[in-house]
Amino acid sequence: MEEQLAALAAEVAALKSAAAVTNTMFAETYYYLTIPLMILIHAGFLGYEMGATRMKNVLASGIKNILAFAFCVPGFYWVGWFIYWAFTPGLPSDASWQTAIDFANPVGEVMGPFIGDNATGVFWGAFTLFAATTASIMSGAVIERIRVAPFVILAFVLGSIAWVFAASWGWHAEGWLVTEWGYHDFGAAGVVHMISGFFALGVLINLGPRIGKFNPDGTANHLAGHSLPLVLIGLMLIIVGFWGFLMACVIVPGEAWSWFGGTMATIYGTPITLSALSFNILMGFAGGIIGAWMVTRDPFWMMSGALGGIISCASGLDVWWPPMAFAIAFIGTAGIMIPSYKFFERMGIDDAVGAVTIHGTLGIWGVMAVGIFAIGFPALQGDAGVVQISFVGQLVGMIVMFLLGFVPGYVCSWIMKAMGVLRVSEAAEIAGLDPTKVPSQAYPEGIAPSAKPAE
Amino acid sequence: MGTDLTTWNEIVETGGAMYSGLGAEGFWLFVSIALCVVALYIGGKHEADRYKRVEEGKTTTLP
Repeated sequence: MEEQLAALAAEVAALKSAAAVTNTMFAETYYYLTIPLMILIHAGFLGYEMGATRMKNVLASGIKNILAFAFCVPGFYWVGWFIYWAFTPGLPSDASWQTAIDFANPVGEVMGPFIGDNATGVFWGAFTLFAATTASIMSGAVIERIRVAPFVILAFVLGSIAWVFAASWGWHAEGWLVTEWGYHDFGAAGVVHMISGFFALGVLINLGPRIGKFNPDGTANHLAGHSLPLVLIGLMLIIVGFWGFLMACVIVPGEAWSWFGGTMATIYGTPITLSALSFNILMGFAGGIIGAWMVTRDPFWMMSGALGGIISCASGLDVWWPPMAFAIAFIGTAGIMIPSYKFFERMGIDDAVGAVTIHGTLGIWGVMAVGIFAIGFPALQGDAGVVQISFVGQLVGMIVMFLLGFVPGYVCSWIMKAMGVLRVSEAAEIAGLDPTKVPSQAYPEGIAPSAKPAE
Repeated sequence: MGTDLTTWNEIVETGGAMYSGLGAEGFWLFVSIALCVVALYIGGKHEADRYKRVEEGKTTTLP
């Protein structure tokens, strides 16, 4: 009998060990796969940005977009990941600094191939893609007149520093915006989209509009990109990539670093399921398109509305009733998107792809929608009495996000403008950036017009 | 450079770092930063030269 019990115990131990290995492999694979999915966001931004560019600047826009991604990767390795862990209290405490040393030291063994650590690399990879996304958002707004090297520096500041402070403060269970104000931003409407959109606004103010965008009386001209189909496919690819982005916002269960043994959690340790995400991402996507279609009939704004719809309900994707997600997205794109774009245009802002509106303004709506429709939810995992989501908490978070985006974007680009290095020369802008500096052609054989139907 | 490892057994059984550059992480971090700075400098210089050429009436980069 005792022998049988011992054998049974050994078998149970072996099964538990095998289950633990399986769970660890699942967790590592889960985050690993979010990375290529999020690279689709960059494939999308690349197509979107090049399609929105006139023929003479297509490849220059592509180069700029690719470099934003490339430089954000080492930048986030050098400093971004460390900032995320170190600055959760606002300024580093002894404990948060030590946590950063333990999890994100760029000269430590933890940041390299290390058997026994199946988490750090894939978490870093997912966050790096978040970082690169912020830079790509800014990239589209400034096409056709910004110099590449200063743009890369701006992308580094945005992707490796500015948004990381926002994430450390408002997208981390120990972030002071979360612990003190109950700030809730599951899908990063504030910490990614607002930061990027308003960073872009700060840059656009100093960069100025493209030649020909505005008439002497201040009215705006539409500088159509060379390929609307490329824009639309690019936007759809961004939507595909968003599934990876939002999937990476989830903490899988069962590991030493997990919140729960058997339940997925948000980054705040509150419960969530992938089913909840599926309901609400799709409903937000649809609401955004339909709202945009109702007020514009324009496929560019419809697909921008798909993105804007998801951003509108991003902060509360974990708690919305799906038809509510639809309505919030619909309100965002039907009621806020176009007035916001026209407002910035009247202010003399030449935002070539509407990034300030889609990511900035609708990011505000996304953050504040939680402060209106999700008041009272516990903002953190824990017993009764834990800090709750509130209108004031979301308002404070929204203001912080605006400042963390706008101020560094404005200040850095102002310095570059003062140094005379921000913008390409007028002659190059008129001639086109591709023939000026790119040693290849986008369409060497041209694009043939549609053939007339046979009579 | 390289490694002192003579077998993977210990790494597989007990875990641990398994990369070349162990002990010189800061040096390689500096190298990666320096390479990016150099690339940015050369890229910026190329760009400035090209704008200057356009102002001189030479607009194409194609062979």
